[in-house]
Amino acid sequence: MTTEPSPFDLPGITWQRVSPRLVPARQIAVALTLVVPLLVGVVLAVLVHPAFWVLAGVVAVLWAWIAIVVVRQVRAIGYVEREDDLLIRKGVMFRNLVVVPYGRMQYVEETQGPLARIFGIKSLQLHTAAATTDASIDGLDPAEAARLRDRLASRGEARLAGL
Amino acid sequence: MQVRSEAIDWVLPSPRQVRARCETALWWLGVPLTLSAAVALLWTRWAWLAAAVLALWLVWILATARPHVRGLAWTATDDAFVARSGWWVRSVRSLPWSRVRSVELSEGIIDTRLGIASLVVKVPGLGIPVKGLAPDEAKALRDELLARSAPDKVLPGEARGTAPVSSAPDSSVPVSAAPVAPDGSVVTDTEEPQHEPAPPPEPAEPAATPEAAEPDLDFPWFRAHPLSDVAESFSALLGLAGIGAYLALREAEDVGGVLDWATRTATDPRWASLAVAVVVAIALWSEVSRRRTWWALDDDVLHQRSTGRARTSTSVRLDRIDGVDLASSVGARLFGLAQLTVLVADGDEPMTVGHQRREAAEAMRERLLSHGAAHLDEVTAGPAPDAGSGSARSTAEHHPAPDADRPAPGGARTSGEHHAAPGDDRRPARVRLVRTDRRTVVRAFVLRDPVAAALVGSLVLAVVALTVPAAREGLFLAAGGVAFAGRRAWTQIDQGTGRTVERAGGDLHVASGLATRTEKTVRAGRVHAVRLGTRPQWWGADLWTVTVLTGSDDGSDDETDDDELSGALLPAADAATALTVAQEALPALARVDRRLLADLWPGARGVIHPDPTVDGAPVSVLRMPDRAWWLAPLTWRVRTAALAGDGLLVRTGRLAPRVTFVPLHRVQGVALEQGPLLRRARVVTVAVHLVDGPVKVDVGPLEAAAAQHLAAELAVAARKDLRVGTMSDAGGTLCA
Repeated sequence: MTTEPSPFDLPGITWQRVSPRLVPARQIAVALTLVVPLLVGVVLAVLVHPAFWVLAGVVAVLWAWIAIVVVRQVRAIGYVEREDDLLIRKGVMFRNLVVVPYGRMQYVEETQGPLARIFGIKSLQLHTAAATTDASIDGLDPAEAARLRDRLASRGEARLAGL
Repeated sequence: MQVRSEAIDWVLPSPRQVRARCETALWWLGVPLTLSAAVALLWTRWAWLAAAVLALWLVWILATARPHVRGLAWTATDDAFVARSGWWVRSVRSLPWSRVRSVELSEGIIDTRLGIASLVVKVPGLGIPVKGLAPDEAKALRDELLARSAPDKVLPGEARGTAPVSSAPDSSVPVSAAPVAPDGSVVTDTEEPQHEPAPPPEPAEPAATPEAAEPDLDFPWFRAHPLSDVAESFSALLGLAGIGAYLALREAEDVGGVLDWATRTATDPRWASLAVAVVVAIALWSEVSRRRTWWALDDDVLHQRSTGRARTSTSVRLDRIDGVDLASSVGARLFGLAQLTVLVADGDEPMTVGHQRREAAEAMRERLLSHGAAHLDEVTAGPAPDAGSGSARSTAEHHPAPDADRPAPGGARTSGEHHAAPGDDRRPARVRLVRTDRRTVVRAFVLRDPVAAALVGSLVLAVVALTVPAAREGLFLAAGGVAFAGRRAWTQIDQGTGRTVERAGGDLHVASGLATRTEKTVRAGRVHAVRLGTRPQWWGADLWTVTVLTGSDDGSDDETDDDELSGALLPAADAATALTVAQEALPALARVDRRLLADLWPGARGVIHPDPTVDGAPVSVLRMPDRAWWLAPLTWRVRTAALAGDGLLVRTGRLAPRVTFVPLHRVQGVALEQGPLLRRARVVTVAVHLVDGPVKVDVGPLEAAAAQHLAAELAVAARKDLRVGTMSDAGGTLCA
């Protein structure tokens, strides 16, 4: 759709990609949430009225669409550690680029849920004093996540201004 | 940068934490479980549902207590405090030492018996719990956290006397063999310090309180004034008395009846003894709770602790204090008392220091604020030869050449005044900037406010209801309207009348309130943004509100009128006054090109006189491109932003224009956002993230290049962090 260069492609920056294992992890998470309405739709359609196939169909279409979008979304995630700030890029349809200077970071949080554990990935989130800042990177290699967490913490400590 | 993720020496919690968790769960869930089971047996079977949920929850907690506790751990690296938690969803949080806002040490009843303690490390928006520590270990960790979070502590690993915990602790759990004697109630029985803190230099007598769990006995601990509860509940007592009198009158229908009823009740031994018992119980309870809360102020740290069966102790470094409010309610003024509220951006309720005599409270406020000012000054000017009386720390080597790129001190604040602050406790003389006059308040909050219409409407309704018998029902509606409008009018008049803004050194003191007189202090260099705004109902009048964003505004996100009023530095003033106050609050605003300000801010017309020799240099004003008009058909022309004076100036709103000024180094983050609609218009929104509070800034859809320019400017500002002189003059501090 866009022919001109995207405003989210900054010149001279090579984005770090996240692990492709995030795709199956997200797919399973989507599946776990959508399988229930789908089953409900199918069961109702079989037992109660065929009109409930519409519900099942809508859920199935949604599922298929999300399954495709997830792949593109994961590919769109990128991050760069620059000298003084961290850039995080996200999104396909709703694009978003967050710039957080290390000096504004309050703390870094590294999380790993059970699903992420199975796929061997971790998420990292930078918290600033602004609740609106959503600077999270999903699907990092555990080693990379730990390295990034330590590095951000030490950079944050080196940059004095807390707020 | 070394990668040190492989070998983390986690300090695990004491195994007794498992037991503590189980016991706590048994108490907190077991009691409601038993109650609901009892209700189910005696009353309704439906209560089994609640009991089953509670039982499942309890079983879950008991079953997962062991893995949960095993998931907890902490460690101290050179740069950061690292805490681990969770077993199902695991998370590791790294908190750079310099970000610690306050530390809360707590020992519950169960903890005390088991000989463990826990800490909560607070940063904006989060408290990181550290559980299952030995009491000594907890205290050592607290001291280390406080010591290493000192703003001048730049180089990690520097030896400090107060940091007994090694930065790479053993992985074995250092649990003390003998649990601490659970004698929390000792304090209330032993010798007590003077109720009233002594005059200024030492605010209180040192209280020798032999408590095993608290070694910091050298501090001059003090408690709230004995009359503080009476002062606090004075209005409530008055209200209760009023209601009681009204009820008694209604019942008895005449005064003689009331007296009769009162004497009958008073002479009836049952009623009299009940009343006496209730009064005594309340008085005892309030006295015991007063005696259990203590405060102490040492050189660097403000402590609050509550003793008793469950003990907590909260410590805040003085340089973390963003502001101190001094409030005295009607009752407090009657007894000559005042209460301090200490604002710290730790995402928690502000710390309230109990009522003290007004002079003592004022002296304490000066001490709380002077420390930070001394520190600020030290950082700004380097180690002055005579500045080291209180905190003689040399910081110059960390901040090379602070004067090198320091802009000229702007506006009314000269650096000479600023230098008067450190060292001695005496603060510079106060200079009054504004006192809101009654005319402005009436104009802004009565005549031009919807409240006037509501009041008139309900009064008309009342008259109609009284005269027309058929419309008698409308009386209720009228009463509701009068009550609503009256409350609103009262709030506005209460907040607006007699509001004074005074400057003392670099700080601003804002006094407001008719009933409860509150004196807020806006500290120099703790202002994150300032906004000059108006309201739709003030259209055409020269009325402006000045709002400042400090790091520790209580999280009122919604911008309702009431919040706007109480959060405002100046609720209503003419443009000239509003601009003066805004520039005092944020001196960097004074360096903004006046022609630009006049362009962006409608109130500036006739107030600002641009000087062609100084102003008018080309400034890139960022506007919404014409092709994107349909994204904001009403306001697209007025949405503008400009980078000026080390800050970002943003104008929004057509009917009620608002100009917000944010120093660039106060921006927490920038997000460029683009949805499908914006992509079609080839524009990008820039969300400027500020600390939570009453001011939010979004820079309306911009050209992609402009948005990128803004983000790049922010990156440059971020690099300026270590150039301390620039920051402080621009209204910033280190580690605000």
